Amino acid sequence: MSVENKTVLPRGVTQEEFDKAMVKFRALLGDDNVLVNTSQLTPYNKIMMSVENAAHAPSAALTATSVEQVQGVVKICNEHKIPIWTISTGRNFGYGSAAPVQRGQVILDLKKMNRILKVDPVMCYALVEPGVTYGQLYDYIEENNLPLMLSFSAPSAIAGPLGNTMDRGVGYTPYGEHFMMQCGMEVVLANGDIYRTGMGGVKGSNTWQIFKWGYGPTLDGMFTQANYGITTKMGFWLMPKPPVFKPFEIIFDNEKDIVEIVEILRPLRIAGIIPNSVVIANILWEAGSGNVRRSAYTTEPGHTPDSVIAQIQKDTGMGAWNLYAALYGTQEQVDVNWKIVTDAFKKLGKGRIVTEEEAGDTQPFKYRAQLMSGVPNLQEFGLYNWRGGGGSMWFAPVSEARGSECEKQAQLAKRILHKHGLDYVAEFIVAPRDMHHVIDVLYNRTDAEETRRADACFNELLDEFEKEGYAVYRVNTRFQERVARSYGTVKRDVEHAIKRALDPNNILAPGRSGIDLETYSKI
Amino acid sequence: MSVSRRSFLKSMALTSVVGLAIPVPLRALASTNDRPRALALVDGGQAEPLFLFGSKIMGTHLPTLRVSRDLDLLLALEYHMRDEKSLRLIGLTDDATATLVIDLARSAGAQVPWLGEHSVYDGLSRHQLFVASKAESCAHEFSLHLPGDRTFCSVNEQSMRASERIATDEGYETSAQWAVNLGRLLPSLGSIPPLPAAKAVPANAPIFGNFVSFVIEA
Repeated sequence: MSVENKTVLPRGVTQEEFDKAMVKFRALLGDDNVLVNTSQLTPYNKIMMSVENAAHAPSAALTATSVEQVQGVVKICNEHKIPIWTISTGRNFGYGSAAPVQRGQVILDLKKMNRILKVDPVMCYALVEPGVTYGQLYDYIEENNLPLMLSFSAPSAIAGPLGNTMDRGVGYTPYGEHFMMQCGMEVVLANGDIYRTGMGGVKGSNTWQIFKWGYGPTLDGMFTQANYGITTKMGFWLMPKPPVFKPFEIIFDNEKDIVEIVEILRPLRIAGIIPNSVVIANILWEAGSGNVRRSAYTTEPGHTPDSVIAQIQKDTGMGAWNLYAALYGTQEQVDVNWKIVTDAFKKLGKGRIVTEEEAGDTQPFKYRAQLMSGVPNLQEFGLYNWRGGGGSMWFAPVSEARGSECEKQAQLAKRILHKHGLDYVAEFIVAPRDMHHVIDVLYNRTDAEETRRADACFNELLDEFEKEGYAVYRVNTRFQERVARSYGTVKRDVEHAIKRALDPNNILAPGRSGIDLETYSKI
Repeated sequence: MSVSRRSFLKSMALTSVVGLAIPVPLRALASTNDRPRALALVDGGQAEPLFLFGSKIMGTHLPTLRVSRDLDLLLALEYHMRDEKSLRLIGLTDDATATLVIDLARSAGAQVPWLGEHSVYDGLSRHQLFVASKAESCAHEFSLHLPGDRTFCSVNEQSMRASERIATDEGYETSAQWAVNLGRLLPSLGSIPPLPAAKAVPANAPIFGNFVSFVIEA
């Protein structure tokens, strides 16, 4: 048997106490489900953030297979004050991956709780466990020939609906705002109680995945991006597969076109003419996901010069901005909406419209069309090869869906990134009224100096955006405490009051979203 | 569809792909019971021939599988990592592919005793290694045989300690010997034979870019 990891312990826990807890975990879960061998923990610690891996190293990882085991784990953690970091599939790339927010936390990996409990093709919903992947669901839907469509983020098949929704991730279909489509959670609380949200507390209810609100306070949102419980089941609505799906791209050559793009797009989104989460990807996002590597054009340090970017545009036909959207419905509906959309953009006099027939199998059109129609793929991971070196942090400020605001944010981000020698690699994910402005801060983690620059850059992005009244909707675990401060002390006081009430021993993911009784009480 | 049914289908997909891509089909590997079965994962990039050349120098003829971001192939690989005992995957790939492979190793419950991140630009090479105790001697050998030039190598033992830089000589690297050395060393991780002294690179042109090496043990 391999030597156990003796170098990492949870904060404030002695080796003796840790060992006692491990004995109990083994008795509860079995030896194979208690991972302490350092070779087993390395893949849990492959982070992409601008700190040493040691800062997010786990002391152990546990795999549970049932709700009862999760309750047992929580009990042991309370007895020995062991902090746990729960993951479902652990594919939160760009936001911390599978590693804990604080060094030494024990990972509770729910990958083995992977049952699809129900898919109702009539009421169009699913109920799943945490370890279920979108790929699993996709196979299930295909195998059973169900008239349903999934919505997922770019890691698609290998990520899961529960984890993505709990981190308030988004997808690219009309059901792309995933938390909005969530309906009914089962949560193991820190005291071991099992709480079901919405209608789930009513004995014999058949509306747990039908009606969200139940009676009295609706608490579902409280468990997302939080550390008040461990979600062990989640229901969510599925979109009926439309008879006609028409994806398209509109290519814009100039960076300044973003203002007009957004102004034309917003009313189409609010009116539901374009129903899905539209993407407007900039040239470098487009290039990276389209298999272009920076090293093919330049190996000079610093940000990629405009002349090189212009050359990439010329060589590839990609735009400065590349809009991807789709229409869904009957042929008649799609025809009507297609005319409205094309008329609107023709009136602008800018933009080249590309249909699926014209694009064929070319990337990145193909993977974008697949994401918008619920077909999984891994094409977007090509972004990691744009610069290479394993560093990736998503800076994701929220913007009004107003052209001038998007341009202001884009210019501000670009200026700061360039100051630190990094590229502006970005996309806007367009909701009716807001934009998720997602910027992939890519850098070389093998270069200590570049890693320090990336860290300084991310801090400056947070600081400068905050001065303008902007904040991110989600962030990687290195910066969660920092971002929590942007949202004000009253919110933090309330969050910690809830934490004290529900988890007085501070065992559930302390530090998640900046919620940590140990550190906050000392401020 | 049950997980096992899906896994079976994915496995069939891999067997068929591997059957085309490697000199020894995976089925033949499965019949080798007396030692760990091994497979080299590469991505068709510029480091591939160097890495494979290195393994051949040591007399190790590994079946080779080219991996990419192909979803079916990666899920099939995950199935094999989960299902097969004594399977060892030795790889040198790009960042995107390695990110996926390593994470699928995690979900498959496999072990990763070696993870190396390599960056080579303008004659300057950087190597960051995350190694388990069984791979320490391998990491030591690797750093010893780096050219005494503009090479930086840091080794984090199991990613758990703060990094400890063990070699910081400066100079110009004129070859891609490091990729050859990885091919020599990684197949015998845990039982390191001494490296042959003579340098041997098929084409002495330096390579550049970012690469990730790994050893996965199922």
